[in-house]
Amino acid sequence: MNPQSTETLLKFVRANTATANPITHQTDLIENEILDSLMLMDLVLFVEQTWGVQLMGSDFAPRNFRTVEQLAQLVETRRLAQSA
Amino acid sequence: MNHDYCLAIRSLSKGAPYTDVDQPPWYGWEPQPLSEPTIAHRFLSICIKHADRIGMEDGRGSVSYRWLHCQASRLAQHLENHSDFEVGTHVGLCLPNSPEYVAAFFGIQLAGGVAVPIPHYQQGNRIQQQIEMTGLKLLIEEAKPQADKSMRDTLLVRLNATTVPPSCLQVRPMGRLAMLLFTSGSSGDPKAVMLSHQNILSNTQSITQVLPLAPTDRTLANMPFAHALGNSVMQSHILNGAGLIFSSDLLFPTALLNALETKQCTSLVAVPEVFDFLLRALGTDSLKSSSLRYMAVAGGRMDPGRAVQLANQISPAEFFVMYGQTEATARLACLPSQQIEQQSDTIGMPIPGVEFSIRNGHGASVDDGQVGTLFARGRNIMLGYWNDPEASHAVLRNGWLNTGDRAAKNPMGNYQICGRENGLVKIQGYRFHPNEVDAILVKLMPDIQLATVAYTDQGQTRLALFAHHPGNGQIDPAELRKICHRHLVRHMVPQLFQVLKNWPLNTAQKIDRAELTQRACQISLARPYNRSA
Repeated sequence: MNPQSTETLLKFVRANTATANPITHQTDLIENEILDSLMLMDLVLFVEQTWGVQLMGSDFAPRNFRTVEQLAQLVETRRLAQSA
Repeated sequence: MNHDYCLAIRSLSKGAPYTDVDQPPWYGWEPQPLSEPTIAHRFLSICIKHADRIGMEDGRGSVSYRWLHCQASRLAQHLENHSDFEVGTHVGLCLPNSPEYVAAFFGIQLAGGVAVPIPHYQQGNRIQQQIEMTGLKLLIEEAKPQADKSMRDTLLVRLNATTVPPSCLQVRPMGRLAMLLFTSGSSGDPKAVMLSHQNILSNTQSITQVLPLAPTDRTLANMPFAHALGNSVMQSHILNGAGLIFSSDLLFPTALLNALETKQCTSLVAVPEVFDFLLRALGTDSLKSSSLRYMAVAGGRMDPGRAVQLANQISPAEFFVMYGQTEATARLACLPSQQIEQQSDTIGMPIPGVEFSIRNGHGASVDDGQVGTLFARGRNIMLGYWNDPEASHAVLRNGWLNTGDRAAKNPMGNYQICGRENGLVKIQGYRFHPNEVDAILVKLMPDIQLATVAYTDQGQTRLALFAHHPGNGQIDPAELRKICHRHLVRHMVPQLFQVLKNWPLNTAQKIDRAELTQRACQISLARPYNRSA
């Protein structure tokens, strides 16, 4: 996993969240109610515009958005797929 | 029924504890001729007609119309016996979408009360403001097990009644007013729209004439019932004997698609944002559903191209574009599925019972094709705003509602919305004025001057917050963002934050909001995710 992607995503999530608890790359964004429909849409657009990838279909699943780490993994997978 | 359904009725007037009565005396329920049917009439006739039909389904199981009838009657009994209740009492309803909400709503109607849905997802101070402005005496909310013993002002009602007293088959006389529904005004303060029984029944009937809604329908009830569209979906389905399906985990479009299929839903009515996301999840695939009959978008403008795309991808299910306002109970116009391809940039025609008129600044009708202000008339138009005759008079004239939208009628007879007059914006189906954001924030940061403006980013309406410190003090945009997330409801949180050394001023020496909007668009284009900076 690219630590820079993780850090960029973490910065975005922290900047756009009101929660008082610290958010790490392994914080469960769904269980902690950090992810709502607007945040999800913003995260998708952020990922697409920052890394030039397009998320589609089955990408929109809890397994890819539950933590920043998982989302960073998805970013890497999509980047590799597009550059192949 | 083994599932646990429970509600709490909280008295909001101090020192008036509830006196529980196991065997309530049934007074005041004598059948009397009423000049007009009420929601309670319609509800009772549907419950009797469809008693064994599944009315609602959630993670706990399914409940029938018989269950709904029993529980609504039980709640009505409790209200009847409450010392704070009489016919016409405003009863708050602060619950998420659930069978309990529906039972409570119709229980209030059976008892002759006025239902006041309070969005449960708001901040506490906003809820308190709404309680005070509508003069609520009772609030129905989620039962908190730990509170039942200690709170004398709260009554827990278990929804486990298995019979309906004969007297509950009758409707008691009640007032014209059925409910108050909150919306935003241009001043930034919430307004409570007064809806009558006639308003709701009329709009429900009109909706069933344009949508293929049948008692066999099962809709995914994902819009909050405290929202005009969610309220309309709930009423149009229950008052037609159809089913409401609740699912708590619909955040991801894949989950929504999965729920539509596994729950065998026949319809989905939602705001444009939901369908935008659904399209992303579908990609270029067609929606494969064995049960879906139609979808309808309302509560905001959907990009015409996306509407056509979605209509094609869900075919043979139909797709409808609808237009409406809280002040019109919910819905005013509909573009049928057959016209989506050619007319997707319009809202279609007024639904049955609704009449449109486009007028110029002097109140005279304009010719077809000319842009003017859109007025609407019909039995679904509100009675007015609660306790606000001035605001009511400003939008209601001789039975016509000034929608505040600019529109034109095209040669096909369909109406096209060309913009808004009063600066209100709609995000996620919630209509509000950007000033509302400033009004909340300025109380928290009195030393800072703020201006929130709306702009468009990739077809979506977004908000930008500009800030200026008159004393040349420092403003941290990251801190501003945090404060917004902490104190504003999600759809009001700006996406873009910018600190200014000086305000751009117009010729009247006021903050030039048009210039700020332009700057927001430029910043957004240059740095699409300024939010993360």
